[in-house]
This record gives sequence, structure tokens and C-alpha cells, in this order.
Amino acid sequence: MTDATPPLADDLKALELIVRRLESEDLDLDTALALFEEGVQRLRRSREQLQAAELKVVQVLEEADGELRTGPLES
Amino acid sequence: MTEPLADEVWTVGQLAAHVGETIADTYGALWVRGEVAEFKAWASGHWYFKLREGEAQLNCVMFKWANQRQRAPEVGQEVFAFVEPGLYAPRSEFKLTVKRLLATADLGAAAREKERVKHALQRDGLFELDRKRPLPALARRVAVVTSANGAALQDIITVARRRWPLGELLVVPSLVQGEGAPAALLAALARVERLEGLDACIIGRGGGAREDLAAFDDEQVCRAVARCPVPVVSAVGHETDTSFCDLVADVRAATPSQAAELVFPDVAEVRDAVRQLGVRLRSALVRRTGVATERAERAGDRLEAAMRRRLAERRARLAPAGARLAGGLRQRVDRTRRLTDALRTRLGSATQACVGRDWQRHDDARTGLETAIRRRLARRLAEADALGAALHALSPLQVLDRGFGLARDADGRVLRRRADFTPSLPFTLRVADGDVAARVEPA
Repeated sequence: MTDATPPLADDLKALELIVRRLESEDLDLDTALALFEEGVQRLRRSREQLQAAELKVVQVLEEADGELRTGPLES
Repeated sequence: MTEPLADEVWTVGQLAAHVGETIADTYGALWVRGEVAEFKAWASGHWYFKLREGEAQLNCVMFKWANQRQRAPEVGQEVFAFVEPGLYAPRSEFKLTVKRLLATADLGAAAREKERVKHALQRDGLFELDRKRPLPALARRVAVVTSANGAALQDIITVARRRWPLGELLVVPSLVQGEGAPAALLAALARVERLEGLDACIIGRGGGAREDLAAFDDEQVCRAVARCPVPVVSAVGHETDTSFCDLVADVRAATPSQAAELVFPDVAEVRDAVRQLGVRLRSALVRRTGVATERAERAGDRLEAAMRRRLAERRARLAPAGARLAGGLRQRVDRTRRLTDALRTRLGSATQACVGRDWQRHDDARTGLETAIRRRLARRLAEADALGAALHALSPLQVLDRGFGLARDADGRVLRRRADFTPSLPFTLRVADGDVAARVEPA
């Protein structure tokens, strides 16, 4: 997961809002279509994020100069 | 001096109750340190004594149910008393109800220190429930402060891997027991503060002897936990152990495994929620386009009905006029019998032609309107159909999977007709697994 990807939580929150608007508000077709398109995009991105994932485990160490460095976990 | 007004006068009971409440609200329960004086154990089992310091002294009562398990203090002995200050109205007396009593001399240095820390943390409100922060719904980056080779870390990794493979664990290793442990935990927590994009922090260790957990009762460690910029889950020792760290943290977990369960959502549940959202999204749109189509149809129906009504009105207006015209002609014919048949015939047919033209015009107008309405309606319906089709095409799992493609120009407009494909136009063809860049052959 790169930092460029909007967090899953944001996508899901936005998706929930879109669905609620589509379900409850009296929208014209163009708006409804635009919302649906955005919803589909977010849905696809959420699915992708939920599929291709493997837990990342790293160790945080502090260098002599005080910088934090992450590396593989040694146990 | 004014006279007392009846409704401004307090009764003794009201005042006593109010003072009592004020004292209770102000102080609650607290620890007080002093010397025991004038101790009396009554036959009832209750203890009455004073706590004294220099010239100040406060009346105390320690009821039977609170003092059962301990030896009576000696007069002159210095004690810590956990008390609830209050007013005992029958004797007009400010009194401390003692809940716990500890002789300072009886306490070991460690226990005294623990009492002191507890008191200090309590005084600063660090155990208060209203400062506890909720955990994020979908944690991504989570720091773990624990021993790098303890069972606790392995438990946390195992649970996180199973529940939430999207997560990232940043292990910040620390000593968790022994003399150097508090300093190591402090350093680790300082590193946690510097980590970016963190959603939560787990701090803890597996079970051990009570002394092994002492670092998690350290005042500075607890204050650092309270200061942590992200919500902290504390899991120290077994379920039966409670450290100050547990009390200061935003969430207390019984074990390290449970801490990971509290922090990380279950991926299966989230996938299910996403699936549900997809279903709702699709059906909401289907319903929405359905509503739009229906509305277009209704508008067409209304328009048509309005036109019919108008035509009928006109017809109704024209009918009497036609009758009057015919009647007038007849009268005139009667009066002027001298007019020739030919003239009568010509006049009759001319009138008929005139009225007929008028009718024809109205009929034409009506037909034209109806046709226009039908055309518009058909266009609207076709538009709705096209939108519906485009939507289905957009749904990645449906039509595209069956081998259809969706062509769009650079602005994302769907290219539906041959005319849309102008020579050399670059466009994107969306197929089941992605987009294909394409271009219309040059003319």
C-alpha cells in the first residue's frame, strides 16, 4: 500500500455517503450518474485494497544520530 | 436589614443537605495523611478517631465493613487514609468516612511509591474515563511497544496477520522488566511520538510475577502513555493483573492477543461491508434511473392530457358558433326565397368549406402536438436507456466480463454512435480487466 492511495477508511466513508445520497435524495440523472461513477471507482479501489495485502512487520530503531530507521524484525 | 422573605428562608434540613452535597461534589474520595488520635473502637464494630497534623484535626469514622480485615491503628501512628469527606448533620459535624487505612510504617518502600503514583495520577485526572480516545475504525499503522523476543509480540503479529493483513506493525522494542525497563519504555514511547501516520499504539507484555510488571506502574511511563498522540491500548500481564498503565491507556486489553483484536478489524467483515455497499450502490442507481424514466413518462402523459383538454375546449367553443352560423343562414334563406338555388348551394358549400378548413387546421395542430410529445418522450426514454446501458458498462463485473467494451473519448464521454468516431480520434476502450488506448483510422 502506497501513501498515494487514499486510505481505505476514506473510501468507505465516501462510499457510504454516496449510497445514502443515491438512496434518499431526489437527484437528477446527471448527478446520480456522476455519484454512481465515483462510487464504482471507490468500490473498486476498496476491493483491490482488501485483496492484495500481506501484513507488514518492521522494527523501529534509533540511529546514533537520533534518526529513526525501520528495518526487518530480528527476533 | 430587611425582613426575611418566606421563600428565601432555608430550612436547616435543606441547608445541611446542600452543604453535604457540596462537600461530596467538591472532594469525592481522596487520600489523606495524618496521625491517629482519640481512637475508639465501639461495640458495634465501627471505629471513631481523629486524624491530626499539628493544630488541625478532622473527625473520622471507619465503619465495621471497611475495617474488618485490619488491625486497629495505634494512637500517634502515622497513616494514609482513603476518605470521603462529608457532613454528618445530626451532630453538625464535618466528618471523614474512611474506606482504607494504611500505616505508613507498614508500607514497604515500593508499595508507598505505588500509592504515591496512584494518587498523583489520580489527582491529575489521568484515570478519568472522559479523556479516553476511541480507536480508529480501520487502523493501518500501529506501533507496538514490547519486548522484541517476547511471546506478546508473536501473539500480536499472529492475530494481526489473521484479522487485518492490510495493516502495518511498527515494532518499537523495549525492555519490559528489570531496573532499566522504565527508562527503556520511556525511550520507546518517545520514538512512538515521532512516528508519522500512526493510527494507534499497543503497549504491553505477557504475564509474569507481580514485580516483573512494575515498570508499567512507573509514574513517568504512565504519563508518557497518557501523552501519546494516538490512542493507546495497554495489555500488561494476565487478565487478573491491572497496572497503572492499563488505567491510563485509552483502552485496556486483557492480553496482548486481545489488544490486537481490539485494534484491528476483521478483514472478512470489512469485505462483507464493501460487498453490501456495492449492492446498495447498484440498486439505488437502478431505482433512480427507473424513477427518472417514470417521471418523463408522467410528464408526457400530463402534457398530452393538457393538449386534449384544450382541443376539447376549443371544439366546445366552436360548436355553438357553427350552429349559430347555420341558423342565421337558414333565416336569411327563408327571408330571401328569391335567391336562386344555385346561390343557396354555393353559399352552403362555401360555408361548409370554411368551417371544414377551420376543423382541419385544429386537427392538424392536434396531431402535430401529439407527435411532438411522443417524439420527445421517446427521446427521453432513449436517453434513460442509454444512461442505464452506460452504467451497466461501467460496472466492472458485469457487461465487460462478457466481452463487451466501452469506448470513451479523452473527456470521458461515452462514444455511442458511428458519428462519434471522427477520423483519427483517440479514445479509450474499457474492457474487463482495464483500459486500452485506441484511435480511429484516419479518413
